[in-house]
Amino acid sequence: MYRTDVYRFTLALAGDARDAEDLFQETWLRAVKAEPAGPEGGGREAKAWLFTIAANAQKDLLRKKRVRRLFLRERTKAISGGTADADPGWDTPGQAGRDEAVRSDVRICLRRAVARLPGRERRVFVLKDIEGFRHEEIGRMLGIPEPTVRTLLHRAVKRLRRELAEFGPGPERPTILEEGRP
Amino acid sequence: MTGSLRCREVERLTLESEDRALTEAERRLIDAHLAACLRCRDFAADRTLIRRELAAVRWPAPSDDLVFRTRRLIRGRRPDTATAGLPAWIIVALTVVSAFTAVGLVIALADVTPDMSLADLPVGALAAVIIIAQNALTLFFAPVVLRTFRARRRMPEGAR
Repeated sequence: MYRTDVYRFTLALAGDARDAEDLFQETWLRAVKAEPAGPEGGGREAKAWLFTIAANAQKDLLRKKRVRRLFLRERTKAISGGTADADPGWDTPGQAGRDEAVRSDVRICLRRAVARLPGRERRVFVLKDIEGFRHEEIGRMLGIPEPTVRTLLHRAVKRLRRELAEFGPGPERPTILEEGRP
Repeated sequence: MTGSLRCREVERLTLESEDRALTEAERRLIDAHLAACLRCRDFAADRTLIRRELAAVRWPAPSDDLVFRTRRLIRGRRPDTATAGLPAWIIVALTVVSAFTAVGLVIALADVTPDMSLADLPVGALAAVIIIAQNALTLFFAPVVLRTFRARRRMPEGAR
């Protein structure tokens, strides 16, 4: 049952399907290796444990990528937009009319924007907004204080807003002011 | 909490409200601020938009191929299945038992000829045939049983 959760998490973290597959495999390899130290039984605790492993694996993969870029002088995907245009693995819904098309555009922009978030912010954002963990749980999972989680989430949301404004479909972007109260 | 809030504080409280219930004072201050601040209303609206759109994403499950490759990778990397070393005393004991079994089988099967049916076999020879069949089955199925048992024991609960 957790394989779907882990895959969703790795997809959201990695930003494209190929990296997500690498991350998925790395996560399970590490989980099997670290299993004696893992939580007893299943439930939310086990899921959090697996996500912690995935988040750490993503951190390491990002580090390796940075080193590789440094040595191979690769153009960063972020600059060329490679990450954003790679196969996201996120399912975009069918084009069932104008409204759905606009929402689909928003979702594409959102996916690109999430893929461009810096590592720490992305991890916090995905754990909060996609996986639904609380600030306190995220802090425990990533080994950072709760106020830092809130700061990173705030930064991530601000950055996403900027990115969405940049990529956004402009006047067609649905307005939700009426339901925007927190 | 008293006085008015700055935009940054309202934004942070907006995010915090997703995690905990705001106090009445905080709620009043936010309402007062939002009523007068278009920027913060936009922030709240965008926040709702982001959450709503993310909630609507249909996430795919991992493909069977990916799951299969991952399992194979795990098996390949696991040291106890690849090179499980037996203690020397077990190897010595198995060798001695095997040697005794071989001698016993030779003695028991000495009187057996190819034209004898199963019913004609003496008790000792019949026991020897049963032992041979049992060993053959054990040798054939033991690796499968062991691999399955180890895989179940090592995989985390949720991954089964």
